[in-house]
Amino acid sequence: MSALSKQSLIDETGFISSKVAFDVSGLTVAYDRKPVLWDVSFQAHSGRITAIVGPNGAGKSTFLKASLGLVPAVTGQTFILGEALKEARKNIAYMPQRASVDWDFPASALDVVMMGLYGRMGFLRWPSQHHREQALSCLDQVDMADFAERQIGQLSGGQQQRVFMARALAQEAEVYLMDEPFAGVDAATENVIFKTLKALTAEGKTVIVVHHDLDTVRKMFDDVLLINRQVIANGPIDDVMSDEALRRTYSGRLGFHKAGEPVGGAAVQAHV
Amino acid sequence: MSEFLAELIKALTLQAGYNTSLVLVGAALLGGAAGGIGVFVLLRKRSLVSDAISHATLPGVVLAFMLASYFFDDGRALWALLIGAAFSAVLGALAVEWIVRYTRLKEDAAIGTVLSTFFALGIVLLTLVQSVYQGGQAGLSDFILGSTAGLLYQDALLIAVSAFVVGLVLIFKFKELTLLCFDITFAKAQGYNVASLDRLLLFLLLAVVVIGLKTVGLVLVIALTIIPPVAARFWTERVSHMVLIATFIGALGSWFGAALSSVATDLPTGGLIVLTLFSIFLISLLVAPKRGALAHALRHKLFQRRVHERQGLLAISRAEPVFDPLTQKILRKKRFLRADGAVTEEGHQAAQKMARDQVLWNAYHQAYPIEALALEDWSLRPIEEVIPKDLVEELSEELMLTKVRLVQ
Repeated sequence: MSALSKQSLIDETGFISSKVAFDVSGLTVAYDRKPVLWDVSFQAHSGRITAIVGPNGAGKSTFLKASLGLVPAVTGQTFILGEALKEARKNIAYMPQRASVDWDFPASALDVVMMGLYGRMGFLRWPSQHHREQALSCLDQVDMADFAERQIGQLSGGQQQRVFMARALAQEAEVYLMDEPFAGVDAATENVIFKTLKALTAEGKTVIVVHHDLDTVRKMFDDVLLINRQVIANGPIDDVMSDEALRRTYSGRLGFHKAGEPVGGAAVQAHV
Repeated sequence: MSEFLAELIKALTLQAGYNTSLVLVGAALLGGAAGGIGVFVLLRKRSLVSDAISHATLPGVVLAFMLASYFFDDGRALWALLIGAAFSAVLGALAVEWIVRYTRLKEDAAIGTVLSTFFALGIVLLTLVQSVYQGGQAGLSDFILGSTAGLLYQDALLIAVSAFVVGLVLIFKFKELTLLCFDITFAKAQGYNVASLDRLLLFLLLAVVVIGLKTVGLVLVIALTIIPPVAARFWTERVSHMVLIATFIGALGSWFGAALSSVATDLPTGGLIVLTLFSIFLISLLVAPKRGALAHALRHKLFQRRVHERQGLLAISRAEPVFDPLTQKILRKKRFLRADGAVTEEGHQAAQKMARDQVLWNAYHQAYPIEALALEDWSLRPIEEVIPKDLVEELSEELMLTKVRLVQ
């Protein structure tokens, strides 16, 4: 699979054909003056599915959130298909972690998916039959049409995750940013979500997934961003996911020489 | 007693005179608006903040009274008092926000601190005013516990206009407020200005609290925004319905409470309204069809009986003894067991049937794990009652085939 996907990145003449859809440069995030992410630059290409991989506390979720301006960054820019973040909101579908909402909320699965359509409904407009059908078809794509009317708290964890996936689908965005969509879900759900994401990339959309399971990265993704506060490596999986790079991501401790002066690679290799 | 009832009915049906009718309509509009906005305050988990806001109004009311009596010689001008109330309530809300953002204190501690400090300041100022202004301040303490006695046409009009504005905003900002309450990061990612939505919600809450001050009093006005939505939650699983129901409950409870207080003139209006609302809450808690306590208990009892009967029969089908006293009792009642514990003929038949049902359920679970997971009644009711007949037949045919294969 990865050989094929590399072909799609480089066409017959040898030039890179797919365009940069998600472009973050120089992103630094700090909590209480302690840097969580340091000078992270990253590009994701359209038509490809990228995993963001790193140990707990490496700043994977923070990277997604900060790149979308959901948590304040010290510095850094994001461009979506060449547009600044502010103009590109309609092209972004962000799927938060499942635990970030209260599932006892008075809403049905269909109501939640409908929220993905709010952005296009406009001021003063209430959901119409047309919107309902659209939302239903999104639920159908993740095999959840039978549960449309069920209150979301009555769904299993995997089903809740699928409702979130359907809501992202409803947004009809260009770039999909998913925070741990495969965490704690059953095998069937994992399969459905993965197929859905692959279908999106087949349409030329860009999919970026925070992923926690190293074993499945090679099987599921085209590209990878290895991250541990700083970018360790970024690119097609076969080029980037070496044992050496993984060791640097997982066991190397990014030392900070003096306050604020990261020494990245050198210090890591010294530790290993 | 019957005289009391007759007067109450007269009040409820707006036949007890102009003043009483004005109070009832005013209270109902206030209760409705408070209930509607309260839904979002509750879902945003900000109910405690509204408590801080309402208590923080007192120093503003008293200071406004002092300023107004100094400058205009009329300390009781309602508009001045309400502006003062709003002003210090905003200060209170900002203080809570500031403490949460810049210290390590959690929101509940911040609310407790701000609430009690502002209220203390208000009480001190009020006592001061009472000793200085003597008669001129009469009615100022009504802001604490509320009184409808002096409700004027202008006051009712103010409540009506505010309720109308709150209603309009709720209708036009329904989607955004729902999104804000359910999933704030998603709302942010979509580009909604969540900070300004939060401010809008706070502003509406403030408006309701301030106009409700004189009627219900600052200690109890908060109940108008909390109890109706909490009661409404028992009846529905949708935000839109919850807003409608909470508005209705708020209006109904305030109407009824105000009518009670117009008949029992020596009892405080605010207290009567809140107690009426509480009764509605209690009824909702008990009898609501899905989320109510009785329905819950009944469902649990039914579920427990089903499980016991099923496990008991399955034990019989495996020729195992039944030890559980409740299981024995249920089986005996159904005449599957005799008094001495021996299995009856009916018992054997039922056990056979149940064993077959369980085998089918297990087969269904193996063949369609996702669907089985989704079923609430999986392996609790006879399979024919839950899934389509052709599917049951398909399953039993497959079972026969595997059996044949196993035998061979």
